[in-house]
Amino acid sequence: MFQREILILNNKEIVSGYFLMQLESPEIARNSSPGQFLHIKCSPLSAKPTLQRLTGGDLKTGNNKPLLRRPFSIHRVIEEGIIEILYKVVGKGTHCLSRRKSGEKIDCIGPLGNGFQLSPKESDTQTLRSHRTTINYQPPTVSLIVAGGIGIAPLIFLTEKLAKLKIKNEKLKINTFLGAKTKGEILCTKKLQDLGAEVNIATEDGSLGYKGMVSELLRNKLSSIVHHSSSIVYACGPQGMLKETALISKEYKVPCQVSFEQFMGCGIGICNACVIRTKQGYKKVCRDGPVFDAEEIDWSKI
Amino acid sequence: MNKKANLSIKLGNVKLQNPVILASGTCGFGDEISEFIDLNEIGALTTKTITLKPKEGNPPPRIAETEDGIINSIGLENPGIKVFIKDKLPSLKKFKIPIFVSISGETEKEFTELANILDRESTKLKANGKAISAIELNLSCPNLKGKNLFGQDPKTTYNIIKKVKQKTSIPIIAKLTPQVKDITEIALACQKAGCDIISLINTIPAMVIDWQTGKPFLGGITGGISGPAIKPIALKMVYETAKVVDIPIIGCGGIMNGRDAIEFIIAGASAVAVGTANLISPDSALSITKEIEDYLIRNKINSIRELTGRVL
Repeated sequence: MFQREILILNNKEIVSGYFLMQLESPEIARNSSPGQFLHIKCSPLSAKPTLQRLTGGDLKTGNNKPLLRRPFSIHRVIEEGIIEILYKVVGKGTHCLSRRKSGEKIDCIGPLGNGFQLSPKESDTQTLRSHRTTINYQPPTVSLIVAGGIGIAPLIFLTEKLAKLKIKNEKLKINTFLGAKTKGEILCTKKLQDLGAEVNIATEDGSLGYKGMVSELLRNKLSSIVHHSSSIVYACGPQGMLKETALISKEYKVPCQVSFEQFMGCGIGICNACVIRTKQGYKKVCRDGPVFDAEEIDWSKI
Repeated sequence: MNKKANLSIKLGNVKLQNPVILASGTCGFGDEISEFIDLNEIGALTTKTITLKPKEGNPPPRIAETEDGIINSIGLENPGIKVFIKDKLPSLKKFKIPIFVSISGETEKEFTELANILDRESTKLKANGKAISAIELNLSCPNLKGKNLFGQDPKTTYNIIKKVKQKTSIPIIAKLTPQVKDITEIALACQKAGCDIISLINTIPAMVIDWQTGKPFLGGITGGISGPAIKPIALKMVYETAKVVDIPIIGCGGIMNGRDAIEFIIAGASAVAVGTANLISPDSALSITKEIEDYLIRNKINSIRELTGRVL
């Protein structure tokens, strides 16, 4: 992982309240895998301190709010070392980030975290964290991808990886389930279709697709699949949705990997702030996660 | 213009190549942060606080951000002294810089027991040329529920330090809380008990309420605030303490850059500890050191030691 000041190539509002930012960093791009994240200082970079500044003007604290970095999962890695993040403006950090302009640089640490485990073989070739639980499954043929709201962000990177595998093995199926409160928050459907994924949509207000929770769509799908042993669920979204997804997957004995969103301090595993309750006690979302095997999590505490 | 300034300092008998120390709880046990910063370049490292038994810490959320600071409620999560010695100490001793081990006990006896164990380990390490450079007594963690802070009472502070000093020859640092009527009273008690170094301040008790849910935001309900918001308070405490004690002071509280560090040193600190800044940029200690050096060169000051307590 790296701490770098990297160039913003683009920062556009794609739908009201949702931004897509393109960043240039070949070394971060090269080392990233789906599910990993960037820890970004959302405030503008102040110039490196100089002797003159030391005796008077601004130092590194200039324009330094908000203080903490914000974690953003990697949305896509595209050619020539370009990384995309997709984010929703929810608070001070994302508001500040939405004001950054192309041509500016931004202070970024990454790639961080473990990422999704596509297959045991894949994990050998990637710089994944060692704390994950290894599941002894054959490479699954049906991938069920569940996204809650902005939880779609890392799942596009994942789907792109899976789509590449699908080219080599036609038997692979990718089913995606997108859930949100309303249709304006359902993102990336075209991208998923272009990747050859089946797209299922649920909105709480029924403005698009099924009216209800996205987990219900997952349940319907799982009940129609005969061979659960060849399936796997990947999910990212609010904790309530992850819990539902985990419980349904367990019911059908399908392995499930969940990616958590959590308030973070350092993002690199030193402050112990972003913990989540697992069956082996608290674990750090930033370092041991953000992706966990659903079996590992103590869902009774969530 | 001079190319270099002398940044080395002494805290009692402990020699540091520069005055910038990583504060307890903001650099773990050195392993993760060393992926971002060459620890051999910093002044010293203070470990996360160790207790006798492992502690699982407070429920999440454990961190909140305020306008100019962060509030944490970690709750001293740590693996306990046994695991620390077995798993953490071996990798820590690889670094050439002084290592300060932070400890906390629920009773006076727990403090002395921990000091006793560390003394034994340090003696073993010494045979290989590397010892524990100091023990920091965390008398001031605000995140332990239902317990008074030892550092709020001069007599208790005195007793703990006195007893710990009987158990070990390792230099002792007392980490003090700002939550007191008169900081000088506590600092003098430390000095009288034979304390080698005083470190202040720890975080200040604080809380955040989520106005939409009406609930406290932190899982631990209250926490301790750190960062730029507390700097002026910390500065005043260092200033007041430096006027009355002869032992060296480590100044701590919202130091984000070289200018902040210089201010603490002018107020009377011999060294500074950087905490919150590490969480934002793991290499902060190095940029702060560089900025201190630039300041000295610019102002034609040969050694950082000339600056300590200049305001007095």
